[in-house]
Amino acid sequence: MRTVPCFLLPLVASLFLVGAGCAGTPRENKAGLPGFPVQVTDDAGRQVTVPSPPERIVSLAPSITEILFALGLEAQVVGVTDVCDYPPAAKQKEKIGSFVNPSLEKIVALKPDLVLAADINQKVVARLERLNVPAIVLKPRDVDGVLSNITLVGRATGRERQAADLVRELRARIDAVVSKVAQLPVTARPKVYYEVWYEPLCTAGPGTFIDDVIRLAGGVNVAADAPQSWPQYSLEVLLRKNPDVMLHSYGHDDTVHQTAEDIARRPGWSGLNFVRHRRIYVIDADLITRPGPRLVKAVEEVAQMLHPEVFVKGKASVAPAA
Amino acid sequence: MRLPPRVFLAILSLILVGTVIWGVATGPAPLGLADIGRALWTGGGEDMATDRTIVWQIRLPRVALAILVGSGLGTAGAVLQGLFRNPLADPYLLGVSSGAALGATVALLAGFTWQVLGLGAVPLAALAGALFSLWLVYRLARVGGKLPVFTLLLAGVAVGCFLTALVSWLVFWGQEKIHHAIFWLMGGFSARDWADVALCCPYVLIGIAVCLAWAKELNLLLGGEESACQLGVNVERAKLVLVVAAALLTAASVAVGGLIGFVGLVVPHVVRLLVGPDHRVLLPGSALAGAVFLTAADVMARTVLAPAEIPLGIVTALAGGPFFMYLLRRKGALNGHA
Repeated sequence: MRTVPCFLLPLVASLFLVGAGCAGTPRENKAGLPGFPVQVTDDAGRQVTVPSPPERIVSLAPSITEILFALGLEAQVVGVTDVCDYPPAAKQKEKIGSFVNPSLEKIVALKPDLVLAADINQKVVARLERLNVPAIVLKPRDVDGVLSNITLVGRATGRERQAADLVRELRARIDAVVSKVAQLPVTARPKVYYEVWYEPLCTAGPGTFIDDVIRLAGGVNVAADAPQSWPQYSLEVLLRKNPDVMLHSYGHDDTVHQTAEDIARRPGWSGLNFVRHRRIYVIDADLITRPGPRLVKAVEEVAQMLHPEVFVKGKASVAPAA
Repeated sequence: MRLPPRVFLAILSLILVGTVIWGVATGPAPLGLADIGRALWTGGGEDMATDRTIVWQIRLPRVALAILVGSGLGTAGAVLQGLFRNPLADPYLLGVSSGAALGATVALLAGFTWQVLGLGAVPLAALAGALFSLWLVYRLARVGGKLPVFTLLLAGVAVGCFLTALVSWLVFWGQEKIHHAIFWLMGGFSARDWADVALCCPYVLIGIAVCLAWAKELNLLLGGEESACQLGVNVERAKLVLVVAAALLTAASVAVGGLIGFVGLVVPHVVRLLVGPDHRVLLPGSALAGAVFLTAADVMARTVLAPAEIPLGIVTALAGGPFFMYLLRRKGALNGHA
């Protein structure tokens, strides 16, 4: 026990070393433009000041790239991740590395005046902060969170009006679905199972966008009571809950394809309601998992799948009838 | 093909200098050598601000960390292989790395954001976890005031297994933040800065200095504890000093670099093959060679798939694994240690 304090000596010494090297120079402020500098509070609770309308934006997530393009900021985006593939023009932008592990050096080399990051990038954000590059973290929890993200990005980039228009349009489309679903009796809401993976069975639980989309589209996620967001699911429980509809995204990321026949052939699955009534649907994983504007399209498409009698195919995105 | 010790260490030092220059000159952002030189020495004007940031804040801290962690793991591996008289010993055998992994995983999954003088929660928690596990292993391994290497080995493996299981359990429950933990566990220096260098620097320098100072005792211990005792070595004290020094080297390295495999295992073997088992040459040689190997591996990690980065632990294992197999096939290559 006597030796323990000795181990700690270098730790204490190193803390002083760090303290000596911490002073940074503040970034030059080109204030004076209308509305700028803008101060925003991001989803990580950080206060970020954007000194002037950003001219060089780096996006660290595909969903963020989609938001930026939807706000007409294509020309200002100078760097994206190598999985940013929508809209197609995003693929032409300079790549800063992967979504989970971007290259700090590449980001800095692009001389960004604003970096928009996802929660997963916290390490890089901490470094950018110390290099005096404004970085905003987006961490939406549900569809509403995505809409407030759009507003936030609009404020930080000087596109408040475009953001307000986009949010209004998206909100109207969600309301159109929700109001139709609200007229249905509670018993008409199908039990839905979304399959993330099948070996082992893995589904989307509470706190996921998939869960939120299923609810908004008038379904009941059978895994909504799971203890984790992405639980490994028990086949016994699945059989017991016997969902009416199965959703999956196989075949959309060109790795694995599982057809409805493959699923029906799985041992023990033939008695499940969605197999017997052939209600297995494919939804583009990018729509339903990326917290961007296209999440609303996922709500519309899933609503069509769950309530084909209410939502006529191809018409769901039209403004509310009432 | 044994080289004279001084020549060997001089050549290794030159290679290290070359590797460092390579490390600073290469990266996903295309910078000319002239620009790098200006950013390093004169600083350049306002137009050079980005180049300066890349060289001073991104590349140099990475190279410095690779040198420190590589030399720390190389030295710790050489010391433990000698101490345990076991060619499979490596720095992670003492369970210290599992303690560091547990500390880092807790900090990552709990989302600690506090800082102490610019140092993030993760490396500090990793260091605290490593020191805790060292204390635990030490207490478990002591038998009647002595520290038999046999019980030390078992205590290290037992504590290591248990703490690793806790890490797996936490990662299983981590879900959303699982990526942070997995990337940390795979090791690497992406987005590290001078604060991390400052954290591990004192431990590595002191640890290596202590090991070098006890190299002669380590040589005598190779012949067995009884004969070392007869030759006037205070065996228990020598073992304690060397184990704690190796553990501190490991703790500091893992705290800033995560679990980077193979450096501590392969590098001492290669050096032993080239200069023989004398620890007065083997230890500084392992430190230098570890620094060269890890600096080069980090350059590969950040350039091969640029701008994407490969976790460093994967690069070292991919490069080190086949090399180790080749060494194993060479007759007598691994017999030099005893």
